[in-house]
Amino acid sequence: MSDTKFVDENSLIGIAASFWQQYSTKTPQKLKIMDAFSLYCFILVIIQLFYCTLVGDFPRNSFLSGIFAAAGAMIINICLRKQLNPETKYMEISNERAFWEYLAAMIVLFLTVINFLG
Amino acid sequence: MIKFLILILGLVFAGTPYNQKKVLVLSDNPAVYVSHSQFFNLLSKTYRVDYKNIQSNTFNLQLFGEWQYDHLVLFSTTNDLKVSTQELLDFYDSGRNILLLGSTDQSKYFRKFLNSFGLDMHEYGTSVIDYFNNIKGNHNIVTTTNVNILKVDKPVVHQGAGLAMTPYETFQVYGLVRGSETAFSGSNLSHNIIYVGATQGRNNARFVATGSWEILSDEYLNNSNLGNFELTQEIIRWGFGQSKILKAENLIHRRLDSDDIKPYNYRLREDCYFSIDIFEWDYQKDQWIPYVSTDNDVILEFVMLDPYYRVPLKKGQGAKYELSFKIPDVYGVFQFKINYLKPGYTFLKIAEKITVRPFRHDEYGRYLVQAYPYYFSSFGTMAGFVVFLIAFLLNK
Repeated sequence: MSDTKFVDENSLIGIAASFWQQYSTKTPQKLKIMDAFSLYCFILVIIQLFYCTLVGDFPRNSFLSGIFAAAGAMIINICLRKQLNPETKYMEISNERAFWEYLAAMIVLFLTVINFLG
Repeated sequence: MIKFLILILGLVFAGTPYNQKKVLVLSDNPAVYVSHSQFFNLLSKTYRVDYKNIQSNTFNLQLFGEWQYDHLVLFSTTNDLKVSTQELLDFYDSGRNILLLGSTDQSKYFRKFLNSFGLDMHEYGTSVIDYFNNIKGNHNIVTTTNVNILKVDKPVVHQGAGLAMTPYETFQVYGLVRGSETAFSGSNLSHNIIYVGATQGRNNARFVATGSWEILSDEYLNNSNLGNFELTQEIIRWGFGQSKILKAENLIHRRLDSDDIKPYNYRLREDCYFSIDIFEWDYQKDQWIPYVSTDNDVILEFVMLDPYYRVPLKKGQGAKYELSFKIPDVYGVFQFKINYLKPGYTFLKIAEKITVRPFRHDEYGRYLVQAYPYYFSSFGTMAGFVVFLIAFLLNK
């Protein structure tokens, strides 16, 4: 931390800047990829909710399956991220086992979504 | 010789086929047969008439549970009838018609009998008086041109008491010949005096009553300036069930694009076609002819507790009245109802039940344009997932 600070650390912008600096230097590459995917799913949820407030949720099943796909993928991804990070691990299983469980959960999610989509 | 015999027998029975209807005429005044000879001539042309004295014991309306006569003509008297009012009402309930020719001094029996039909006689001893529409200045012999349902062109003469109708609205009681606006009677100053009133029951039996029997007597029937002759003909035709009789048959309902009649059930928002044939009896040609309704008034109701549609039927070819419409967005048990209560015609009451089912699970729309964002997002997450897997697993 030898560079001069141009922003005040206690303000909102300061918090965001220091968060971004810590995040981009300290997290490993794999976790960053997972975060990118989670962010992408979250954006999809926001877009769908925005569309629903405009037009209404007429085909209720399609609306639910669309939101459920994106939100569910995001949640499952976050669970795997927690497992893979040694600080936030919550179960005593190996990383490979966690990854297989992740794949199984995603497959079940996608099957449900496609069934409900019509 | 045998040919002569057959000819004679043929002539004897020519006017009386075995299935001709029988009319019973009850009266206790033999002078009636002379003064109403034209009326009885008209009756005998189409019916077999039995003349009996009211007070005699030689007639039976009912014999071993079967009605002996098809119609009844009653000349009222000052005495009571041997037959009870209940038996006369049973006669009417069985679908047979009654014609009551009253007089101002008829007994309470006949006045109460009139009350069962929604008509009421004016007070004892009164007669209708009109100083403006009358014959030769005699204000007791009044004329009117106010004739409904029956087709009479010339003015009709009345002499004697008048009738009154129920003061509330019914669809069954008609004033066939009503008094002119300047007529009054006793203490009744209303111009709703009725000379010939009628009631048609829900079983389509007809009851016609007049306040005085002079309206059908020879001295008025023979006068060709008056409409009484036509009135008598029309009363006999309408009152005894020859004219203005309707019949509805051949009810068809089907899907608009198929030929299966009366399918098991319909679905929401399907197109449906309904048709029915309505005939009217033509007494001159002795057959059923297609009924032509003026001003589009045969109305079909599509009802489930409340009518969802109430639309007039369109006249099609022949006797067909038809309509095609879209079943509403509600499922349940519906009825096609026709409630045709035109005054003077028989009542048509028809109800046919159908069921309307909701969509099956595979009958909903597929690939709706509205749902495209949701389709894109679902497959988008899967595509993103695949991309993520590749990036994750190939990352060192």
